[in-house]
Amino acid sequence: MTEPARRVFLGRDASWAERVRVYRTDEALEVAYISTFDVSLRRLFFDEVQLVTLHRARGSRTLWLLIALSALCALGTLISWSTPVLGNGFLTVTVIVLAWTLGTALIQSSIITAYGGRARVRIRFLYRPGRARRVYDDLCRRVGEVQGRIAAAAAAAVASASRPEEPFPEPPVS
Amino acid sequence: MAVSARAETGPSCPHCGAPLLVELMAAGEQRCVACTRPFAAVPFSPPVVRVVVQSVAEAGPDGAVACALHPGNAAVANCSRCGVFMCGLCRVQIDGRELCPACFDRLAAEGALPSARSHFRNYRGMALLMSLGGCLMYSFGLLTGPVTIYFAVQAQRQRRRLQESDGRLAVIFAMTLGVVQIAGGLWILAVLLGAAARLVAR
Repeated sequence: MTEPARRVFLGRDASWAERVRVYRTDEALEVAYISTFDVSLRRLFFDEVQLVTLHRARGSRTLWLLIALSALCALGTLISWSTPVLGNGFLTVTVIVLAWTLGTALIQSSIITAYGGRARVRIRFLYRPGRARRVYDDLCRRVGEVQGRIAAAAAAAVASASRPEEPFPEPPVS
Repeated sequence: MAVSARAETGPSCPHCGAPLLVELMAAGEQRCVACTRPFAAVPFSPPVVRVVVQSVAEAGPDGAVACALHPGNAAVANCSRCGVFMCGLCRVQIDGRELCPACFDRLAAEGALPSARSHFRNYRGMALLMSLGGCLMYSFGLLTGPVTIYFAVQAQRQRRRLQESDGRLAVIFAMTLGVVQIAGGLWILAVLLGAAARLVAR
């Protein structure tokens, strides 16, 4: 029987500058910042999570970039319209970029953010809001369990420390 | 390195970044005061763990072994590597071992503590890069193929070591392309040898 995975892949948070993959372990969220040759890890331990949020948003910067790209392609189509081959090529690219822009404008991604005292983890789900909700619920449950366990252990330690010592037994009276 | 230093300022609105007061929040649907946009949130209050350290004077004659670094504190354990006595402040419990700070630093720097490792090679990325690059340079398949397979094997070992749930398909893909590159390289070699043989025969 194969051993269950210790690092479970939750999702990614890609940006223009870096590739980020987020994993869950038994005790922390691990954020892997991936370059071509190296992976750097940062961990957000469950016992230091202060807030977990889930919201929906559009990639506004990507949208603006795509709108600019669409405008450029449309301009290229207009300029090269007199040359059939070039004009048709530009038109095809314009249609593809416009469809991509429209898709980006319509689709809202679900984003989970976990805030700790020293780190922040963000996971972006582009197409699956249901999975985002499941991951969010699971994350909240795990954080609550871990923090509750630590709080219970601390309370037990305090209780045992503050318990009055038992007095010495009275010597038997003969 | 891809990681940039970012100052963490605590919980904030996921939409606009305005700071949030977690103490005043309840679990459920929220609306940011600054941007009025909605989000779901669950606040937590991380437990503050205080290490209780007993002094040598309090420990009494039976347990009065002093910590090597803090002579006033009673030792609670030995370092599992060097054997030095440690108090509760010095004790580092990691990967089933109890280490003193010096041994922890040394083992972490050597990469001997799996839980403390934060940098490693991206073998999966290198295998994919090499597999796709090797296909572009298919005439050198006999060189790029074995390198691709080597990286793919290392990536698979890394997956096992880290017990990752993903990445199997990428490794299989890279390994397949590595084999294809070797086959292509052998085919090109056979063609070249055949041509050379025909030249010699003339």
